[in-house]
Amino acid sequence: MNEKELLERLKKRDSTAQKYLFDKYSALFYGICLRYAYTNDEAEDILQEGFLKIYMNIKKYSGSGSFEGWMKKIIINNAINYYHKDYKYRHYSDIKDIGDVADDIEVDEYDLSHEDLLKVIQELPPGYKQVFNLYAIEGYKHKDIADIMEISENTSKSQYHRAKKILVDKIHNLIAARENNIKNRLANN
Amino acid sequence: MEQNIEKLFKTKFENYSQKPPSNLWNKIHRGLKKKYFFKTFTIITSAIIIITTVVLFLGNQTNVINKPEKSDKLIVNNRQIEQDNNIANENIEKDNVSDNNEIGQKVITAKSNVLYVDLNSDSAVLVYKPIENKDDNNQEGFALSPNYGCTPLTVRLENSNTDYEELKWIVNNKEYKNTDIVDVEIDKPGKYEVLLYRQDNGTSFWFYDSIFVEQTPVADFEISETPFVNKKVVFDNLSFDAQNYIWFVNNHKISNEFEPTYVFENAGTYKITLIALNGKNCSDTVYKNVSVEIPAEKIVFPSAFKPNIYGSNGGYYSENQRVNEVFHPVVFQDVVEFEMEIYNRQGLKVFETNNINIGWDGYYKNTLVNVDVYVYYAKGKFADGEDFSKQGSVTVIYEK
Repeated sequence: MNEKELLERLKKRDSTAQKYLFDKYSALFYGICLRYAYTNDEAEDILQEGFLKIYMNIKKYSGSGSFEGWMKKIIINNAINYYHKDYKYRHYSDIKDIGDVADDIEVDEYDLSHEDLLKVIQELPPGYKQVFNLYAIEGYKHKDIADIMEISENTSKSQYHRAKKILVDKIHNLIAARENNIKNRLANN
Repeated sequence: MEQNIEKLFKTKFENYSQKPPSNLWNKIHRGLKKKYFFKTFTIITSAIIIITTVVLFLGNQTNVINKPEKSDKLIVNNRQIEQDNNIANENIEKDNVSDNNEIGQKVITAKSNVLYVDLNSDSAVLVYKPIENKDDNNQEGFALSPNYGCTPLTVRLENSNTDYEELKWIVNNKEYKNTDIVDVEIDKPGKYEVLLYRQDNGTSFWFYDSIFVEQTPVADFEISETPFVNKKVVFDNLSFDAQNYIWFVNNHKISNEFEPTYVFENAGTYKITLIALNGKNCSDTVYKNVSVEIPAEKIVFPSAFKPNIYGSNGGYYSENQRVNEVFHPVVFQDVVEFEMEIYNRQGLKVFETNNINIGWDGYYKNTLVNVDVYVYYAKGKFADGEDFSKQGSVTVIYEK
């Protein structure tokens, strides 16, 4: 099925085409949802809602610009709206716990897995996580993030800055813990 | 090789895929069926509601006053709104700040020349004309003050002519009937339109004016540890909706940075003030008193700490790090020799170091020790040659 045919059939609510689209993109989109969610269950919820939105709004896709890009935008916006009520509350008790650490980090020799890093992202406080994902991974500009999240550009910048601090700190801890485990294992042998 | 944190996450997650749980498709499929059903249902229901409304509306049309129509006269208060962004900049240059700083409440007064518009022209384009007969009381609309400000703003609307049979205000789709004074509370930024309808002796008039409201920023900051004399302190900026910042220490400006660092030279209480400005004449001010202390001794040991329960980190700590996960002394002079031993209640040595840069992370043989009081013995030599020898107790606290 080529893209044109797929789109035609999706617009006619053809369930074979809908299943085909799901099989082709669900893994990639689940990967995105995991980054915005706190738990895997929530990621599944967000993905389900996102696919429903794609199917229900398929007629609004103009055909200009990539179809995948259009769908990604829906998935991301949906993930953000899912937590919209949360990041409006700006009092996070753990802000003061952020250490003042360097932005750069040596990681090459430690093979940090997707799982490790995903957990670190998932644990970011509401707001920070969305801003970090949008800026660092999706490549959005702070101005666009401000529009999507209904915050000021400056808030976006400061949240990004803080998110980075938290991440660096957590990765440091992760690496230190791992290093120590290795040392202990060597010592016990 | 040094790797940037953004690069790390971008390369790992840009095209990251993960198979979703297997029954998800069935859930989506069911959800779709439900949505298609409700969509059809909604279209039919909406059609019924629209038809009913139109029928009801046509039946009652004679008594409805909505918005001005083409044949009505609409009198518009014309004012010059000076969005003078320089006000914010002016204040940045100010070196002192008073306790009741009111930069954010600066109100730009309106020019009071009133022009009016009539909507009679066929093209329905608003045409501004000067007032033809100034003595005609009917043409006096209403006073509005202030017409520009920062959230939250209370605006008073006052009807200027009390001879009427019917009076109605429309502010932001809300109606107020037959009252000469209305106080409107505005807590969201935006442009608000005010319409006044007045009818007397069979003549009806519409008056129009608008209010601009800007978002007031929230100034907030924190200093997370007790500042000591001659030790660098970072002010944590927690402000929102602001673009510019002015920091003051005892009413003297010290910085425009987002998060400045500062060194207090003397002990005592300092007043730290932060003004957060949004560049649109709105600002918020917060101040906090901070007491700066002289360290009682050249080396100080904390009385408690909270280890990282997720794993040992090898005692690594950084001077700037504010996370209290590693037990280590705070020194106010360089230490050239250092030794520290820590014992539990049973007299078992749980930790030992001769490196001032390595502290105790609360782990013994890679296992987190129990919540309890531990005893430390430390000795060494300062850079000035003076020896020191300290002992005391430290409490390990955590919740699993």
